Amino acid sequence: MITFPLAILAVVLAGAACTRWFKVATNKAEFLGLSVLLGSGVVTLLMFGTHALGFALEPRVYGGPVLLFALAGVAGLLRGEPLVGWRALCRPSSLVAALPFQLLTAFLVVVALARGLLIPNRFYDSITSFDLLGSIMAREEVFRISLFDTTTLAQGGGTYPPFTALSFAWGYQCGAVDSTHTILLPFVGFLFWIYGAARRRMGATSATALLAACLASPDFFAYLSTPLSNVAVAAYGALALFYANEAARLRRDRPLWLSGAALVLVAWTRTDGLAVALGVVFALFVVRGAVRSWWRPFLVPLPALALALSWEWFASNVLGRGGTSRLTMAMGWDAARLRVLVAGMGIFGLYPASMGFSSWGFVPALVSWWATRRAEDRVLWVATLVSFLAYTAFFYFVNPETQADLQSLLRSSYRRGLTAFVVPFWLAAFLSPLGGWVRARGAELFGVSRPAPPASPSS
Amino acid sequence: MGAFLADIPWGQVRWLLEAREDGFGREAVRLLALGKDYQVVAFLRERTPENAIILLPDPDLPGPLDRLKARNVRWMTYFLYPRRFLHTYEQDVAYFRDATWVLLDSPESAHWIPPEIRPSFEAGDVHCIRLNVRALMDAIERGQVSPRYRPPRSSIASGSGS
Repeated sequence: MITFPLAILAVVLAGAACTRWFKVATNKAEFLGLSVLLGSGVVTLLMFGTHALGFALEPRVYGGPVLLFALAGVAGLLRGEPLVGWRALCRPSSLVAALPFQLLTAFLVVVALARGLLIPNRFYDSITSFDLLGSIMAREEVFRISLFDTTTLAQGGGTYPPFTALSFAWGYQCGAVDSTHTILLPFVGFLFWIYGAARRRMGATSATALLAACLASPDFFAYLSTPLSNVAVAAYGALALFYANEAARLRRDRPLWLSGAALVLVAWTRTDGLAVALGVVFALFVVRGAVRSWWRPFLVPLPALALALSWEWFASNVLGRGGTSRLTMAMGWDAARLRVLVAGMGIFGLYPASMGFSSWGFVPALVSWWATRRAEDRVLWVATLVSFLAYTAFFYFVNPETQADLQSLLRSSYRRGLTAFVVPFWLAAFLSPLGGWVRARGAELFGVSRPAPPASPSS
Repeated sequence: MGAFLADIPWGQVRWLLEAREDGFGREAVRLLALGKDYQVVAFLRERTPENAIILLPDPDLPGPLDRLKARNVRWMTYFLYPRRFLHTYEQDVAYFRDATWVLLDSPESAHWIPPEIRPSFEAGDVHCIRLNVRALMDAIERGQVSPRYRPPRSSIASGSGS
């Protein structure tokens, strides 16, 4: 079927319209990544919105608004001011330095895409069953599918916000025979965004090295190429942290609203991703001079919070999972639980076979920030650190029956969610004083006369 | 333009389009990649009606099928959707007694089947038998069927589920 590539094109163009709407100056890679990521979020929001108005969940209904968005995206691309261009990637002097990173990145991307194409998601779909729910939503053309009524098997997937299942649903409804392309779409967008966001602040060689470092983190590589919700949470969380920092650095509001939109999509994907919202608000509120007024940080997560609360209400009252929620919370002091949690944080946070060397880059970066008292990018590291701690603390309050249950919970859920911090950790490591020093020494080593950093976008 | 159209190998294009319809041998790839578990899927797709309710073997008992694949409710539902799948220990599900098909892959998984209709598992055979579960459950509750042994996980033989 030819309809599926066209649907992907429409979704990306709708994302381009949304990206234009925030009027944040971007480079091309960043713009493409933002278009893919925001587009795949917006199409699911439109699906759910039209369905909530009473229409069937079918492409001829939600395709209308998506096509309108796509037309707006085309119009924006045609008449908008040109984007900040690519810097010369293959300047002879920097090619020598960049080549190993380019080769590593190319190898890892090819292997990740091949893995995602050849090993469909449903082979590992026994826990959350997004693929199953999406395929049945596509066939029954309703959100509240019959499986919710008659079996307990949909409960796991039913507890998650609908982004992931609806992504699979529009893929199947628009003619995809398999779920592989649906999974790879945000992954590819995320790769473009990582490069573009890094390119905004550093040279091409360093940006390629950052991309290679992210891809070489084992859990990032393993989880991002198969299940969709990890890609989305990692991407939207990184977007929220990065643009909050850009808003503080450039003293502009527009990146702040883009950060808020990313938080909305985090809440639309997985509720525990709201730890990122906590980190962003805390950093913007605490860091002196980050925003122009004290109440501005509290506006940023409001739409995300509203969406999360509405989803919780909908899931418990309309989907009817209220009595069967397996999650119970415990608020009291429990030293044994804390010990298990701290051990798990050390194991999964610092172990290179899990997070790669991202946390090993992040900790010296924190030390160098502290030692130099540099104020630049303070929002980035404060927000990342607080998000990480808040995400860990969430598992302290989850109350499983035994400590073995908590350990298995850390092994499955906590470790999976930690992949969202790989990119922020590496971004912070590369942007820290220590990272800047290392990058400068590398440039000296290869005799690169450092070009001026890419023109800092004005907003 | 005419010459251009004439140069296109329409036969190969049609072959490609036909191959596209079954996903370039997707079924064959699935059979190769998933083995016995996908053989079960293909078998059930061919042999059972779409409204069938099928009992799967208990994943905790020994058997040749993978507990994450052909013994997994979600995995089987993905491929065979309008059909419903259940495990024998899920007796509190409303339509458990309406089940009409039972998938069996080992003597252990068939322990609750009465001996006169219990199939043999000589060479690692997998059977899907048609069975009136409601009548069998009634017989078990009346004490007319006495299974040989009762593994701890499955409660169907004890008749305590209703």
